Amino acid sequence: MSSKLSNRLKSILDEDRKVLSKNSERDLKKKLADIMSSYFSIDKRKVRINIVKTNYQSEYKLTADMPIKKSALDKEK
Amino acid sequence: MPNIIVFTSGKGGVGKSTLVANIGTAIALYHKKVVIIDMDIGLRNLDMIVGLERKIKANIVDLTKGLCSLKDALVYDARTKNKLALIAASQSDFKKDINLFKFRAVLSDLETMFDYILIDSPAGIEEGFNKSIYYAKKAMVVVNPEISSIRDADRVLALLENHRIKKEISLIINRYRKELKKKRYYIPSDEIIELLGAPCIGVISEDERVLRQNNSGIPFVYQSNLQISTEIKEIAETIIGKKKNRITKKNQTKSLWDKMKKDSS
Ligand SMILES: Nc1ncnc2c1ncn2[C@@H]1O[C@H](COP(=O)(O)OP(=O)(O)OP(=O)(O)O)[C@@H](O)[C@H]1O
Ligand SMILES: [Mg+2]
Repeated sequence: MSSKLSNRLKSILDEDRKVLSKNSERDLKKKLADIMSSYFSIDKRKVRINIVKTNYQSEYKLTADMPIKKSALDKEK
Repeated sequence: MPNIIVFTSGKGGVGKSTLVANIGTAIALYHKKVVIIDMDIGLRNLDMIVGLERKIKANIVDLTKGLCSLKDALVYDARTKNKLALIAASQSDFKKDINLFKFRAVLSDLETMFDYILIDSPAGIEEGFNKSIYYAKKAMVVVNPEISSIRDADRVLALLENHRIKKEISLIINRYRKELKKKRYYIPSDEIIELLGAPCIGVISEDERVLRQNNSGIPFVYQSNLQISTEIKEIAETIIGKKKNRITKKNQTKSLWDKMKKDSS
């Protein structure tokens, strides 16, 4: 197989897989927001999740940023 | 349901039905009881490849609708001393006409009667595919050495890997031409395995006698002198546990998200 063909095939699969893992990211975000919103008034559109490197030994953590709706806080006052 | 094995591909015409017919026959010739189910509702084919089309009185849609008994829908192949049975697809219904829960009940009944259940999935990734793969514990993804087939197989692999019912997944590379391995335009089998990142259970050569045998209704695996018959028998032996799979898994280039995802086994 020529390297041209190999690279073409790899880049096709990489592109497809990127879209797919975007889908699973979206799915996780939606599920997390759904669970949290039964406890808090989450602003579902603003939920961010991320996988970040925590130290030089390549440990990772999953972070979720879920803003609580301002209207919900106002009600508390 | 450990011995329910689905043959699928995404892309059509890669050899799923041919492989189900021949691997099913090979397993039966090892004296194991095996049933092959054609799930390509509306486009039935498997019955012709195994040469049982004239014996069919009822089909999988009738069965799931409760319009016939298992006995009516099962057609046995005398050449295998009735070790091989077939449940045909319906030619007049549609994929939607199979109810998943009823299908599950049929599979449960078949499990008490057979050692292996092989499901021939339709092409595509829609309803027929989803129903075919749903209860399978093993999935054979059939792929040809062509970029379109490889791309579709990659999509199907992702769907199988993320399915709520965990599946043991293997590749079968079909229509392979070893003599072209060194050509710049050809994709060698080890590259396909590497790219798709799934273990490969066997490679079946391209052979024009497949067409001849499919048209005659006598699975080619009966012709034991053929290279493709040996290749099929090796896969059958791996399935029934007579033989360890020699081809091993290569690393997949997964995204960070996929790597971090918990294995839910
Ligand atoms: N190893 C092989 N060598 C040569 N021809 C083959 C081989 N395997 C399959 N074929 C041919 O490929 C064609 C498609 O095979 P088959 O019908 O089994 O594919 P399929 O994946 O079931 O198709 P569909 O998606 O339409 O159900 C047939 O003409 C068959 O004869
Ligand atoms: Mg078919």
